[in-house]
Amino acid sequence: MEVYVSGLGAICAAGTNVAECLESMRSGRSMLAPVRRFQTALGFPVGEVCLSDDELKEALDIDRQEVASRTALLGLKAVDEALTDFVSRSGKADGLKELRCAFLSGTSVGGMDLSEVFWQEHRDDLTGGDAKCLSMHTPGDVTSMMAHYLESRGVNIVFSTTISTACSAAGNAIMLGSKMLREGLCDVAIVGGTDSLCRFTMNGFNSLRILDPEICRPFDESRAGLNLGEGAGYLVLTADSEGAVCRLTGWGNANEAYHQTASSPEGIGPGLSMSAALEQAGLDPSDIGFVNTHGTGTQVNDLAESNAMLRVFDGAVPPFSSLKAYTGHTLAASEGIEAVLVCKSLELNDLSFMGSCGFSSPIPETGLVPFRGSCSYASKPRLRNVLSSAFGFSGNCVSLVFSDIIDTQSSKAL
Amino acid sequence: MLFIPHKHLYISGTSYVSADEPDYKEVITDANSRRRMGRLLKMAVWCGLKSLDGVPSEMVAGIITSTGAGFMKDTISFGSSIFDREETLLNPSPFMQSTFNTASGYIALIRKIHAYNTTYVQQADGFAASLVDAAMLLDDAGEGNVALVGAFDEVTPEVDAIRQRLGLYRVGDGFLPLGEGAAAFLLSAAMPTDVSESCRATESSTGLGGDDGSESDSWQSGDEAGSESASWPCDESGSESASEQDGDANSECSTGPLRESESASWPCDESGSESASEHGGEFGSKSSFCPLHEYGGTSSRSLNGTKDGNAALRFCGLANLSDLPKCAENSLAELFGINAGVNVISCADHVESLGAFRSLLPVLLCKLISEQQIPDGYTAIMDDVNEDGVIVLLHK
Repeated sequence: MEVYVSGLGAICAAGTNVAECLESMRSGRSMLAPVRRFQTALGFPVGEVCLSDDELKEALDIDRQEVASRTALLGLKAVDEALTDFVSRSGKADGLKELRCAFLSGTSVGGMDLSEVFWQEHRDDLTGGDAKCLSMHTPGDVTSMMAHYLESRGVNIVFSTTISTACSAAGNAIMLGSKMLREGLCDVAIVGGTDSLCRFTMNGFNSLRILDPEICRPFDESRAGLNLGEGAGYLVLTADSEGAVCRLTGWGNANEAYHQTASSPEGIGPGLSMSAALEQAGLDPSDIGFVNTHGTGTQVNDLAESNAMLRVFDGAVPPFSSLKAYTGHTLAASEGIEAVLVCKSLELNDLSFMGSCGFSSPIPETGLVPFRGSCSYASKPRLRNVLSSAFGFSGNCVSLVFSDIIDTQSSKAL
Repeated sequence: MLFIPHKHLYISGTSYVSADEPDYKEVITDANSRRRMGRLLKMAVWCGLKSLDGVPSEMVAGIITSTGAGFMKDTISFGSSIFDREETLLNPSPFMQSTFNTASGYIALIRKIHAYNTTYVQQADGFAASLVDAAMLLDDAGEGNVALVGAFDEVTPEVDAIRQRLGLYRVGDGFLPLGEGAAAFLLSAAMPTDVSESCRATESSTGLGGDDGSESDSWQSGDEAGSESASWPCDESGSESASEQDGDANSECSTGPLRESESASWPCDESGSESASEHGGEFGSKSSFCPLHEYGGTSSRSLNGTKDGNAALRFCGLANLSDLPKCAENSLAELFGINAGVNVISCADHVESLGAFRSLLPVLLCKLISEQQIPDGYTAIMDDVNEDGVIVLLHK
């Protein structure tokens, strides 16, 4: 059974919807800048979404007084776009009530943005702080709030859950959705991830000393760490091909089993998840036309991922890039946002918005040079299959393969 | 959502921690790891390793854990340090351990298991997702493969104080005792005899959690034996519950059960979070949190697989409480489409001994299996403590 991608929605530093993201990323300019929205002594560049919580609430028709984590608001903004896209593609405006929908969301931050607000007041005065701020603390609370919102808008949610495998969470949510669809447990799966920026993660990554004080430079010799970001990306998966963007053909999940937070230099886990996804898709490495990497810009990740690619592709690594300099590392949301962009590149047969920025010289150990975009891909051979990966703490690796819609006429032509 | 697996899937290798903490060093042998790991992480990893005891790493198709709130102690510790140290020179350890997938990652790391690995964080419902995921994984897995399913949750004094203030675990006028713990078991499409053979040998050689001779006596004795019945256990302390519920009594450990009359309407539509404001004044004045060592009558020992020719336990399906047809005489059988009576075990009946917590159902499940308390035939374990709880159907 084929799994189709039939709706897309994304929000991140590069734009508040998919079209905006494509446009700003096509320009090749990073939007990362120091934190504006909350107080922190840390001056690292981040990928903040330009909309305030109130603006997000207004866009979603949520009362300003309602306590809602920014993680949920960003997520709903992207889900809303994905559902609108799905309705217009599939023509199933009323069908949403009839379809059994699974909502599978990845988040690692959960409602921490609000918990911090509570904690700050609570520390000075144990009776202080608005306890309502804690009502969305856990990732599951954020997903529940989002699910309730969707139900109130007529979506028939039969199952919702949260995956929290750190930075690979959205990838695992996408993978779970494809399995549940194939199993017949739902007709539609809304899958992806959301995370907001907060002091907790800023300080966490700073304590690990992997934040770059400059804008990150994935796969560059001079890379010095990652920049955090926030945002959300969701896909609507269906078994029905009507109006579909592309197909989800492969998925692989593997554990590095090497170190709690670091990758092995040879990229054992990334290699395993990439190979597993290719196998699931029934594709040879040479069938992959483009690779969207995790490419965080840390010393360790980019070397490990490069080595994994060299191994999986037996030295013939296809064009690849990292989008982190546009989005920042949006943690659990990253594979959601990037999967949306990958799907878009397949639909449009266009890689002009998929280029790495901030690159000047390759990692000496591997010599790999990322694709730098800013040219239309349309004249090149049709983009057929794209591999996209995300790797997280605790060795959680996930890779996905997206493929174009098979058009019998054009396959004959080839 | 009703879920019924395609294959016959068997449960084996149950491990749980819900009372005394075990001697971790027998299972988590690396002293450096033990030192770095927080208490909940040790509990969760101990359970996972114990369940996997004797199972070759290459036979593990996946490691799937769930938690309601994850590593709260580490989360609060790192969060506080941001303020205490004004965002400079923070210790990264609690940050790393605050990540929800730390337990599944550690189990993989220690056992060098590169297979599928994931973590669900959905209050009490993450366990349902774990079971669905594990069952789907085993559909595609090779013969004899197992999936590890684990769950864990902790309560810290801060969490307890805040939950009280939020009015969580408040039922009618009463309080539920909070609890914590970890559990793990193996799910496999193969009859678990082979697994249990190898595990049992390991178990007896390590002798975890108590003397080998004590198993039949100590952990089936006491209040647990009596709590088989459907009514609320421990009526002897019931008379105290009224004062505990309403007043500001500083009971350190208010394990007082719910009043009988409340059980009928509970937990339907109880939306605890709305009572935050009315509960505000009591913040910090009362604790319903029972640390592990406060509980008696339960044991952290594990018993793997089937024992002494007992029938294997099969996972037959799961559903949400809300899926259950109301008022029907044999509604569970109807729900799962089976033509037999179903014995029902209610999580609420075990709150007295285990406390109420997000991962209660998996811990109770493992406890009951370990204690051989699952009767023959069909048994449904119902998480009626949590809103929109889960029903797990088993067959022995």
